[in-house]
Amino acid sequence: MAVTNGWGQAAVNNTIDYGKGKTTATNDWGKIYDSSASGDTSLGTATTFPNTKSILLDGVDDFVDCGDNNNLSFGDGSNDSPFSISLWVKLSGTNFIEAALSKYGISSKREYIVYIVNQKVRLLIIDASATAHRLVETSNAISVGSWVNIVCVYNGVGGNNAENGIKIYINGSLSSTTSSKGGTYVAMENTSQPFQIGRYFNGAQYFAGNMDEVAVFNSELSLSDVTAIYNSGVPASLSSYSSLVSWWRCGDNDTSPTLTDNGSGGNNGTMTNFTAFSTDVPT
Amino acid sequence: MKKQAETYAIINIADLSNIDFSQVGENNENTIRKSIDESQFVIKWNTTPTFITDGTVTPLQTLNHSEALTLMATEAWSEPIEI
Repeated sequence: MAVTNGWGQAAVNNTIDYGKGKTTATNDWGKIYDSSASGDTSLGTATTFPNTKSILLDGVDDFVDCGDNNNLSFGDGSNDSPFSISLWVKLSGTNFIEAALSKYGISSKREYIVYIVNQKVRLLIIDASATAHRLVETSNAISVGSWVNIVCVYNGVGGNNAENGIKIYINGSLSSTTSSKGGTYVAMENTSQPFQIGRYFNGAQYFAGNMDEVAVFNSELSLSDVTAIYNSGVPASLSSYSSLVSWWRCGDNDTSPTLTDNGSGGNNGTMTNFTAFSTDVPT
Repeated sequence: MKKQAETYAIINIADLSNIDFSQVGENNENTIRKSIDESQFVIKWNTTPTFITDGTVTPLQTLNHSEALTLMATEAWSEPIEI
């Protein structure tokens, strides 16, 4: 029978191809259950991953506030630790600057920000105590009006050459990048700055366009990980990644205005200044 | 597909206390977008709020979404991300 009780959820006597089930609806999504259900009990293929919604940010004042949590900080002032960020974006225009997501506020509360300048993707990390930064930017522009998967990866090396530990993947491929630096960088600080999707907190920069499947990992994802996440342009489930901290599905399995954190991080987001989901998704 | 707000309005900051946030897209006064000099702010709606129709608040400008994006990209509303 078709899955009608929510994505990845079990069905009776199922032949479903995602999430797999037992004969009650009490098991978690995306989890293989040790039932004796007939049919395919392996994980479903990525192409069956249900994804029907995204968020559409107006570029004027829409954003998502996910709050602050230590599990979204990757530095302690002395050392950095690895992290990766994956998101799908569909730019609606050619705004000069688009703030995609950030943990970045006033000068003493800056950690990292993923943003887009002239359609080129940047990851900026900040050592707030030293007023030092390391910035990496893709050499090529991403498309406007098409879904693009962005994965920013940092190996947590820290120190003066921390920028060498940053990679940016676009649609599953490692992007050529340029970098810049300023000050004597040691490591990011763990600040109380909230993690926000769609805007840069301390300035007037917002994101205009769709965003989907935003995820934070506390590891340096590999090329094979990134290839799997891109999945030829169709978002795949991230539930099998042990380093997954937070995963906002941006509408699927969500009830506005809350974006549920489908990772282990407990960082539910609050849709701010907007309430509706979009049905435009990567396909 | 989600429909974006039909109308955006630029309001003088002096009128902030006159905004009924139940009638606009913004959550509250703490989530509004202000101009860089904080003299103006933005609200949006699909149905014109009563505080506009009854003249309690007179927008400095009303804009569609495209016009609002163009305005937001100007120096009065945007600034480079500080490093």
